[in-house]
Amino acid sequence: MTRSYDLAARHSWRGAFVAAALNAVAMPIDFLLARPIPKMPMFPSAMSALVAIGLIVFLLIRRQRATVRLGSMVFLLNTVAMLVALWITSGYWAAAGRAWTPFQAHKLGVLAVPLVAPQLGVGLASIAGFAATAIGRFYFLDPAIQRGFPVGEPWFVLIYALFGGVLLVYRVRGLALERDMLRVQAEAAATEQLARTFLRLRDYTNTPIQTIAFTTELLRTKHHDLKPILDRLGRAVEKLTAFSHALTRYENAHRWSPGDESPGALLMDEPLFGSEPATEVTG
Amino acid sequence: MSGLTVTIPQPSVERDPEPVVGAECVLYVEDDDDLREVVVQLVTVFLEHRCVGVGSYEELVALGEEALRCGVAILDINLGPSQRSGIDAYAWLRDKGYTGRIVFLTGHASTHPLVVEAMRIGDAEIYSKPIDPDRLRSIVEGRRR
Repeated sequence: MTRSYDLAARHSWRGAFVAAALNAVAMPIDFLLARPIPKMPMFPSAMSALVAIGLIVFLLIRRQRATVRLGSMVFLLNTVAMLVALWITSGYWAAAGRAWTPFQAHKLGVLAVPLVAPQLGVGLASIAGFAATAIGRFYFLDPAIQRGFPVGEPWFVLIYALFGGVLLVYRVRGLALERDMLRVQAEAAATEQLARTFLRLRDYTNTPIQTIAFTTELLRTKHHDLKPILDRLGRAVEKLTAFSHALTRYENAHRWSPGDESPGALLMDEPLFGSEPATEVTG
Repeated sequence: MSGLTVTIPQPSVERDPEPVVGAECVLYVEDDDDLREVVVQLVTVFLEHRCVGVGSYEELVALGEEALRCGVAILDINLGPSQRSGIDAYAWLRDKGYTGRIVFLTGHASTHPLVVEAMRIGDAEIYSKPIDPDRLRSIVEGRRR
């Protein structure tokens, strides 16, 4: 059975993995595209991609022990590596003096985060990181370069960040709803299982109870001297009968499946009394 | 002569020694041997009716006319894994022109498909196990609940 937390951990692991894979692929491509830029260093892109590859290996090693916390930490580390690399490379892009659409990688990052972020907090922090580094980098540039930026830059990244935030909230709530539904389904299945077990227990015991009740009555007619003993037995049967009636409340909680309804249904389809062999239920 | 012994299997039919006739006779179809035996004894000793007990649909059919002469038929609904059910026994009795009273006695939940099917039968009553001896008496003596 997949539990709600398992699903959250799996989402988290997968999100961190995809984010690291995007970093590992996109940063080298970014470097290749930047080759015409004078003095563009290789190390930021290489560092970011190597960090991403290391994180991918780490995630694969920890795949069977994935947690939400693990996915979130990896995601954040991956984001930081990208932000450091972009901080450096965007300076060279801006100073190149060529026509350049500022901070495209930051804007892409802001929109990619909602799709893969493991948690709301981590996602919001990452979006804020992309937006803040773009704006911050702008103010670290030479004022002459700043004046060459298109109108409205670098503030457009905030609009991207707003959209990214909304998308992130929407996706995280959708995942939470999915997990809630999974939990409710698991609880319903457990209730159904309990009802089936109780009903089988009841079905199994009704015939022996009936046998004891009638045997007691038979003995009563033949052996009047056993009355105190038979009275005790009778009271025990009454308690068992009351117990059996109490289990009728589960009748409506159980939906009979084709396997259950056949006369050959086994009491021990699921172990009820430990590891004893299966017992046929009749009656 | 060799020591070969041939044993012919007999149906597990419990009955009292005298022939069974009419309303004084009770037919009981139940696959649980212990319960079947005690009910036959109880009806015979305590309620002073004749009683024939059989353990399966096949034994009922083998009993033939003798079963049809009973005034009351008490049928367990579930007669065991992969076996014909008490509803099949009911159908056989009615097909053979049985006009006596038929009562189902079951340990199963009222929502069980076989029990639901039995409920759809208009002229049969259904009781849930366990019943008390007074209820058995009222069934045998023909009193409705």
